[in-house]
Amino acid sequence: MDDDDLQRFSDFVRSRTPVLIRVAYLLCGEQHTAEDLLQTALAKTAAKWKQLRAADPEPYVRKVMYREQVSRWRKGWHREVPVQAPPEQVSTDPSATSDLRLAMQQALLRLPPRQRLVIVLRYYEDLTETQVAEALGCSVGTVRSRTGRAIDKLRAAMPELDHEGVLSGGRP
Amino acid sequence: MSQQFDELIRASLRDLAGKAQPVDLTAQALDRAQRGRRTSLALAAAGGAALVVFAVPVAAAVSGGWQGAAGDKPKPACKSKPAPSGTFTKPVPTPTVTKPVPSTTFTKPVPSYTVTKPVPSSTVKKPLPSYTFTKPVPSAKTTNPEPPKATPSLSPKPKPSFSPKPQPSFSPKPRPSGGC
Repeated sequence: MDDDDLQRFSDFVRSRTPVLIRVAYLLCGEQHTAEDLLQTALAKTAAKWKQLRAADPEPYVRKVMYREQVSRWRKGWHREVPVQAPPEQVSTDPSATSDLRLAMQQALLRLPPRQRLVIVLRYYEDLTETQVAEALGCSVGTVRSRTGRAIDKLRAAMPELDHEGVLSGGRP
Repeated sequence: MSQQFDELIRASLRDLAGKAQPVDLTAQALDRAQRGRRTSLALAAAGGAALVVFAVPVAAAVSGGWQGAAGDKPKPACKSKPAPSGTFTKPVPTPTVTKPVPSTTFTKPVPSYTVTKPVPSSTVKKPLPSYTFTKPVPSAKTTNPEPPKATPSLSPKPKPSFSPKPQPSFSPKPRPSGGC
């Protein structure tokens, strides 16, 4: 990588890291793992930087992150460390939405990595099912089934949502 | 699913993403990429060396096996043919072969007129074809000192096959190194 490419790569990383680290954090649920995931994706991008000169490198970085997360899950990185008590407790709050958001955050972090990955891509990245399937290298049916299972788990983890009237409309 | 539930998921995801702390990963990413490239090159070199080390003997064995596939025995032309040398260009005639054995020993009989008793045949080492002919009949009148002349038909002729004729057609050329 020559000086020009190095300067372009540094500019790209500095400008896009705040966005990319959020996605990585959502995928991993933890800061250090998210940094490691993003660093791996950026290293792979740097190795292919000359081939990406004409194209926008950000989609490549994102795709590498998604696939790397699935690969890590397959390699056993998904094993959770058991603790006696959950690190964060949902406390009662006068504002119902804050309670609900915290509970939802906890439920999202408890999702299996592959299901959380699909939820992040669908609801945070606003990708369609086809785009998610293309990014993950799987079929649209797989994306749908994973999304449905993830939503079922979120609903099961938050039974108070029915009382709040959030799920009054029910599932389609 | 209700719109409110979707919005709750989106809001929760945004809150979660806001917890991430931006860091500068440029140097780490570049170091990692360089390390990965170095590792890839080292692995490729090791793989190439291993391929050469293992493939060359295997290829040699396979090429040797193809010759042996035609038959278990190696080709005799390759092994038994001696390499030609300059001494073979002109065959040296052997005088012992070319010259016929002088027939004097055969033609000249033992002067039998002095011998009253003929030599027993057992003492003769080589049974000569002219033995019966040379056996003189003892007679008192045979005072002729001349030995009986052998008929020319009984004299051994030199074998014509031993005539040393250098074969002009034999001109050894330097063999190619690998040809058989």
